[in-house]
Amino acid sequence: MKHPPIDAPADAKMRAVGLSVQYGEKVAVNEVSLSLLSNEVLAFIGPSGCGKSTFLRTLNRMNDSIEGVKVKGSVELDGEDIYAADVDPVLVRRRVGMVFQKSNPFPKSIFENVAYGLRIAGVRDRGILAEKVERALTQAALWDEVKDRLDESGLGLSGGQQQRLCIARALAVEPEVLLMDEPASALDPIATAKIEELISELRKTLSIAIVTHSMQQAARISQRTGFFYMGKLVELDDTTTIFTKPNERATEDYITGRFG
Amino acid sequence: MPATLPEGSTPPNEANEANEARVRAPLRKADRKGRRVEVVLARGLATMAALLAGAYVAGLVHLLMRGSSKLLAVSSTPVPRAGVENESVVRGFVSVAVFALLAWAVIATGRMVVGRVTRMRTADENAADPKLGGWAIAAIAGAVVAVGIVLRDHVPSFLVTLPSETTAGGGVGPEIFNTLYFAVLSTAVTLPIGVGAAVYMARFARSKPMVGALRTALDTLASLPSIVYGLFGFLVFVVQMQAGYSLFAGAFVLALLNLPLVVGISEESLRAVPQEVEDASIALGATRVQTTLRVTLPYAWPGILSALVLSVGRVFAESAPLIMTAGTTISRGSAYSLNPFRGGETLAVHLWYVNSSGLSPDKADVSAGTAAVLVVLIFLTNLGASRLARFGGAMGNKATSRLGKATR
Amino acid sequence: MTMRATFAEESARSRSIAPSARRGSGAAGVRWGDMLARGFVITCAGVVVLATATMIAFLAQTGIKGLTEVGLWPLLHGTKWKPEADSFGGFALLSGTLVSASGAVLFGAVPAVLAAVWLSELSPKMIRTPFRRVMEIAAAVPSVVYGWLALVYLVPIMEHVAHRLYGADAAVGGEGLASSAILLGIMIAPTVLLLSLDALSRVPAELRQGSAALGASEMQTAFRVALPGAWRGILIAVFFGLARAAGETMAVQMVIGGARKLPDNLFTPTTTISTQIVMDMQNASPGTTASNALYSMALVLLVVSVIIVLATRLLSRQTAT
Ligand SMILES: Nc1ncnc2c1ncn2[C@@H]1O[C@H](COP(=O)(O)OP(=O)(O)OP(=O)(O)O)[C@@H](O)[C@H]1O
Ligand SMILES: [Mg+2]
Repeated sequence: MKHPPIDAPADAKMRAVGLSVQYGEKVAVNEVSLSLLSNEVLAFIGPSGCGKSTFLRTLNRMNDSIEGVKVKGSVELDGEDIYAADVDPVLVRRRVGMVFQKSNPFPKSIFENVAYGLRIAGVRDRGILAEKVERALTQAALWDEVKDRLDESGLGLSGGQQQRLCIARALAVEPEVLLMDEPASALDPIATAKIEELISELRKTLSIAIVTHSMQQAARISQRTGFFYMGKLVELDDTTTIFTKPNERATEDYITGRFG
Repeated sequence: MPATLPEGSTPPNEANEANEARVRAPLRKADRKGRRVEVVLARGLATMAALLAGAYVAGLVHLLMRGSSKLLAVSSTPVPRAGVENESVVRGFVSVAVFALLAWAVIATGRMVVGRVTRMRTADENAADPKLGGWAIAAIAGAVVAVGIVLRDHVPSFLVTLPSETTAGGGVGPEIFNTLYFAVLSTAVTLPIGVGAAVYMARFARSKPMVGALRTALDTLASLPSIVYGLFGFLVFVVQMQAGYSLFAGAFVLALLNLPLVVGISEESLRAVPQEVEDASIALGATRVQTTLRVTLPYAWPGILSALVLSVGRVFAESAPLIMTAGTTISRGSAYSLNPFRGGETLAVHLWYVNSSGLSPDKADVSAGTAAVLVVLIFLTNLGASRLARFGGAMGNKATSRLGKATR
Repeated sequence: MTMRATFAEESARSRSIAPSARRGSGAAGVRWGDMLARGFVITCAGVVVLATATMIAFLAQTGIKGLTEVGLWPLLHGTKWKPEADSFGGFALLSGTLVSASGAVLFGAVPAVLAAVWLSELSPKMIRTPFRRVMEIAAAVPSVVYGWLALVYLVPIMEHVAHRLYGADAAVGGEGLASSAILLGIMIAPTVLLLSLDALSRVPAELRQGSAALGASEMQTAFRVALPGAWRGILIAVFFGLARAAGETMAVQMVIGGARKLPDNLFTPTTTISTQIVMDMQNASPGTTASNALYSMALVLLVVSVIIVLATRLLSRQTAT
């Protein structure tokens, strides 16, 4: 392998090894190797178009449905390659959840939004559903705000509430890893603070990989931070190290606002 | 770099328990409950869809093949003329159209083949299909017209002879003529009124009750079965005015029938004209009407035109209202007459008539031929409409360049 | 776009500094043209409204005359349509229309909707455009062509089926409600499919992604997110097909047999409202009850289609909120 893995301990929760992604001819992610540890928040920063989202989406095979995407290298979940031929991407996504930049609640009731993933997985029992929905909403710090209106449409919530609903929806299926692609970029500061608080809380039970454009946010919530540039993972280190004394020149330039 | 935490050393208990349980969480395809069912279901759906589409393809291909015996029957001896008014001119037109269609088919296939070969040879995936220059097109068009006119008595007789009620060998010349003539007549009514009403809706609608009335009227028209139009035409033209069956009555009824479609699509494409383009014109001192005429309408024109082409398709396809307003007969004397106050049947009506009361021994072949001609016409209008829709962007640019000219 | 805007601003500015003489002299002409164009456009709108009103008024007038002569109840309820015996029972006609139209939904619209879901959610991407093209052409094929194909191919098949079901000597045949329902189904399927596809394509891609990210398979996303999301549009598509089937005339006439009575079963000849109108109108002398009653039946048909349209509106409004 040309690039030795920067940081890929074999017993990590998830591990990408020599991962490249192409859209047709265009290389969006180039030979990236890294690992996501248990109970950590790993942040990805980098200029627009550098491949952060693309990389994140490879971790639960969300790129599969896009036409012309080629993925090389491997991604492991608990040591199992999720791109192996006999792996079902659907099962991967049940274990590796995702929250998107734009909140996308279904045009269903709040309850049904959160119950969706459970129903999909075959849970029918009304009692279990109610219990898990409540737990997920509580985890997402939304329960108190919506507990009296569970039957109302999820689209009637505010932007911040909608995003937390989407987080609750993802949490309801009890994933082991949560991927978040700029989950707070469309929200006001108060809603953002709520989500950040939530992320720190969630770390206790799962691993989180988050893409963010706000370096303060990365600094506040993550233990480690990776810097992407032109499809490559330039540097990955403790968040404090990245923001105080990065090893790479490019990282420093980006952090001090010289480009991007 | 933080050391990886060895499993179970320090993390909170809760997570640890969960991790224990999850290690065994399956990823294999075979592990997913219900996957089998889904695969079977997907296959079932695919089969059903394939059967559906296949049935239409098979039906159409079969129909064209059955009709081809009539459509391709070319003979070296000239097709005898019936000696009716305009026959020679109509034959000329039909013959030119047939040759133009042939030329177009040959050129289109040629372009595609040459383009594909170049792409393969030069490995340049983006190489465009070759284009014909303006002169070449003019020359080919001239040749087609010349050949068409010279050979006008040698086109398949089915296309240019009169129908026959009782004997074999009847054609559909007058039916083709009537079908196209209906398209012209009804478009002559639909175009101004439909576009006018659409412009009113999209640009000048001020009075709320009027807009409401117009919308209700269009919704009502759109929800009426075509037989009701026929009944109305019959009542007004045949019963009240005692004018008998006439192309005029049929065209009027068809125009009415097409109004909701034409107004709807035209209004939509008028509304799709970007505000900036109109603003630019207004900013140059053009009045609203000038802007509408010189900027908005040209910009929306491809959309309007495709609505008209679609409505022509419906003219070709309609039968019930025409039976009640224009009748089911062809009178020998006025088979190709331009007089709109005579009656006459279209291809669609002929197809029905031949099967319900025709006595000719070859009525199966005549039906197949008629249906094939109809399908070819429909195919061409569909192609035209989708071409026009794609053409939209180019026309938009033309409209803006006109904006510069108009206001400078 | 920006280029154009800049150009426009530029010339607007120069214009305002030096207003051209043409503008002043042309004003009167412009105003005339303005008035004329405005007048024309308003006239067009008026003509559409007026024509529609006239049409409804004419039909209603004659139709109501027929209604008073025959009576609403006998017209809707009576089962014998025998103008020569002064018997105008429209139930056979009405039921023919309703049964074949609902049969068409069963045979045509249901498979069409399922095929649309498959095509938009589950099929390989490369077949989507060709599939659409085929359906666009099929949707534009004239109904008489379908009628003729049905007459030549479907009716013999149905005759065979009928004798299988009722025995070789039974008085059944290929003509009847079964044939006309299947024919109408074949006729409306492409339109329903295309409209359903449009409705499905309006479901935001983000919802599908959200569903997939929760571990839903393509099939689950198709039936739990895409289909419910497009429900309103699909319903409209189906009702559109229903209305078209209820109003179809000549194609049905070719396969339904044209007997003016209630059929014994799906394989014996009967008739529909539109078919009976077109067949009888030529022979009924205007002004007689025989003629007026046909207009009354047209009114009934009109009411049926208006009900379908209103139902669509109502349902779509309900789902919207
Ligand atoms: N569906 C797609 N088809 C083709 N190219 C794509 C597609 N999605 C992304 N790309 C390209 O891949 C590259 C990486 O995109 P990606 O969305 O991963 O960037 P990003 O780092 O997330 O940017 P941003 O910060 O703006 O979200 C970009 O150059 C983009 O143009
Ligand atoms: Mg991104």
